[in-house]
Amino acid sequence: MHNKEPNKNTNNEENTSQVTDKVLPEPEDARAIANILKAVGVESFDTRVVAQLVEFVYKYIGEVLELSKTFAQYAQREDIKQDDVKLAISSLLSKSFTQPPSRDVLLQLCRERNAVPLPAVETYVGIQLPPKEFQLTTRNYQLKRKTTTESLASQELSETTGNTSVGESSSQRNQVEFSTMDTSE
Amino acid sequence: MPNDLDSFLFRFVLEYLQRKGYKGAADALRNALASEVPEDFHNPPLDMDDQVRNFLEFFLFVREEEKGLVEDYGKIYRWIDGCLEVVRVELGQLTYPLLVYLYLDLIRRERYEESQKLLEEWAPKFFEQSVRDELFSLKGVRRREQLNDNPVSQLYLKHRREIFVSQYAFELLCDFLVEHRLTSVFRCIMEHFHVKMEKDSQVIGSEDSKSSIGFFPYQEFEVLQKNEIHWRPLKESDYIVQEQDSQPESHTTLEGNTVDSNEVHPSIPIPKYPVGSAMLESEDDKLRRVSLGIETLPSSLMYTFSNTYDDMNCVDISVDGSTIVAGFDDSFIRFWDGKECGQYRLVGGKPLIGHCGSIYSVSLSPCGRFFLSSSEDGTIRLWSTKLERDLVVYKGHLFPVWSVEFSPLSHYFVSCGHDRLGRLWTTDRIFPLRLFGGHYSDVETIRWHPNCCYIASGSSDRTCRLWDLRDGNSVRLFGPHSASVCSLVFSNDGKKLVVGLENGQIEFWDIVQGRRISRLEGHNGPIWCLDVSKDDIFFASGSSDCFVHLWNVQSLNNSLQSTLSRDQLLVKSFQTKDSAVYCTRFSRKNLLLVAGANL
Repeated sequence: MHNKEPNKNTNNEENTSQVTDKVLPEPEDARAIANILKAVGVESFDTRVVAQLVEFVYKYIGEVLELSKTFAQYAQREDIKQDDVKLAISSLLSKSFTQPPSRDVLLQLCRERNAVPLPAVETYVGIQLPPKEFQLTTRNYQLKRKTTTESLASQELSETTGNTSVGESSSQRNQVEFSTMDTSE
Repeated sequence: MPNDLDSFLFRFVLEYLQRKGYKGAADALRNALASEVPEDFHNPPLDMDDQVRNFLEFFLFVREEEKGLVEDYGKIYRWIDGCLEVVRVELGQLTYPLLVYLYLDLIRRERYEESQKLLEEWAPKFFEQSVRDELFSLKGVRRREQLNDNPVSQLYLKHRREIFVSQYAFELLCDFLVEHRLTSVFRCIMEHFHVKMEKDSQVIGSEDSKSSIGFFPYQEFEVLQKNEIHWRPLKESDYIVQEQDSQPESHTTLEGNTVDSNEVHPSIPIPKYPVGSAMLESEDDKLRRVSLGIETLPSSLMYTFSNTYDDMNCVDISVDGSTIVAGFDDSFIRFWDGKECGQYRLVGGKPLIGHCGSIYSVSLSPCGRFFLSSSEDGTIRLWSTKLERDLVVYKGHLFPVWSVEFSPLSHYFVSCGHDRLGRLWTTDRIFPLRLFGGHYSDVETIRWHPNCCYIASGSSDRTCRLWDLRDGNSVRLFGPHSASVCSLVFSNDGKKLVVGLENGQIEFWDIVQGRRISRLEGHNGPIWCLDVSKDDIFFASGSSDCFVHLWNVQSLNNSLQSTLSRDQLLVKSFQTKDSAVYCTRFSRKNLLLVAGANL
């Protein structure tokens, strides 16, 4: 009976971090994450957010340590050193947390692109669309003509008998095979 | 026995290296001179050149005074707070940047406990203001090695902060610093600030003494002020195909229009339309346009979306008021054609699926038959309302695209996003034609100038920029604002820019001279949308505080007051029943159309 009461409370009230603090002791990592959130300025948050972040942190650190172990092994060392960890972090940075390019790179890209003069506009009616292969309404399949044995036989027949009409209709009975094309989608 | 001078110099050089943080060099020097250097010294030897001696004495003196930077900052802060109003307004520009630079200096010298103490004690004073984000970012810089990675510290260290003070205020400040021997603060000011004695301190927002300004590229601002802006409207012959075959010049002189002084040649190729085209204003629009004035306020019509569950991000209404498009968080776009569905209640809305992320912005073409949508997945799609499907995908931004807008003459459109760039596209090319780079943070909103030759972009770095489309350069910088920019609109005469901020303020800028005309406390929440009536008399602003305000801007040219009160300009206020307003639009006939979501 004593055990049941705390459970009842947590079910009825909101699942904020303040409530669960009083009921259960928090693991250290969760407390650290909660402190980080408060330091960044997030004052109130759900406990599920903390759990999610803890999982994320575990996964990320696991990846970094695995990669740094690989680097240490490559350097024929047993222990992981700080340099291995630094290298691992910087290699994962380009994969997981991509950021927009730095300001210098951006400004250079701009300069290159803006040096090209704007193309002239011809007088049309309505809106101009790019060439067909870049539109989304293009046919994104291809018809592949495949001659069957029937049609081959009828072709022979038509050649020998000179009956071209027979040959035409059977060669028109093409087998349609679908193969998707690469569209801009 | 070593020479007095030599040993003194060795010791001096050692101190210098240690002070600047060159540990390796200092250790090497110490090892090399281990036996020969005396432990301590106080005064430079007497047989030195006077000037050198004064410099060395000052240097030593300064070294001794370096403890207690936290108390020093406290003294300065309290003194500036207690000054006369006039002086406080000017020197108030100093308090926040000084805090930042002292903190960064302490980190650079690896005096970590002091730096944390400084921030803990003094940063909370600035938390109420827009610089809060910068402070949070700086809090993350704990070690010297992190100085290079943090974007805010990089901005502050790379650029010198400009301060505009009068002679009197600056002398007061120097006297105070010398009197209380705050030499370290003085040195910090000399190193990191650029003090400008200006009589006319109206240039930067010193009117508002309460809010501190974060990073702002003052030097670039000065340079860009010198650019000339061609703000005048386009000649009709530039975008309308004339029926007569006669030369345009003689045509216009026959009508009595002067050619060069009133209108401008477009600097970019623009499309031309025949006279009856749906892209242009029709004769009917011009005839039936309601002429507004204080006596005749515009009629307004509001479309309220219910059951959106907070998913709706953006709405656009066509210029004739018949088509509405809305973009949602679940990557659907719905549009309603008023002509089909009936007048008062538009039900259903055809859902259009194509994007893979929330839609952040939609923009209808002037003819109303096409629209663009921009999304979190980094793409922009062109949709047709007649075919009810997407036609083209424009990929370029790899990050969420916050805003997209069709040009008033169609054919071109611009977009801006999280990658800090604005891009110019044409509907017939899947790659952008121009890249507008220069903002320090995401670009939130982007708008066309009525003459299609310029673009204004507003960003969360609290500035707006005006871009020339021909070469993609920034020609004006508008700022600093007190919060990030949410919405923009140009006046129809092309001379003014109205900026809506996230803290509910509205600012008016004169584009031609690059000066702020005035500031207005508009709303209690972020201003999501602004639009100006076709004759530049009224403008409407809509915000998340569930109000649409109608303001009279005719009087704006006459009064050059810095901060206007609401009563002076507010003409009418429409309160929605709990609906945040996402779009306000004056139709071609001066009808005010508003759209919002009732959660």
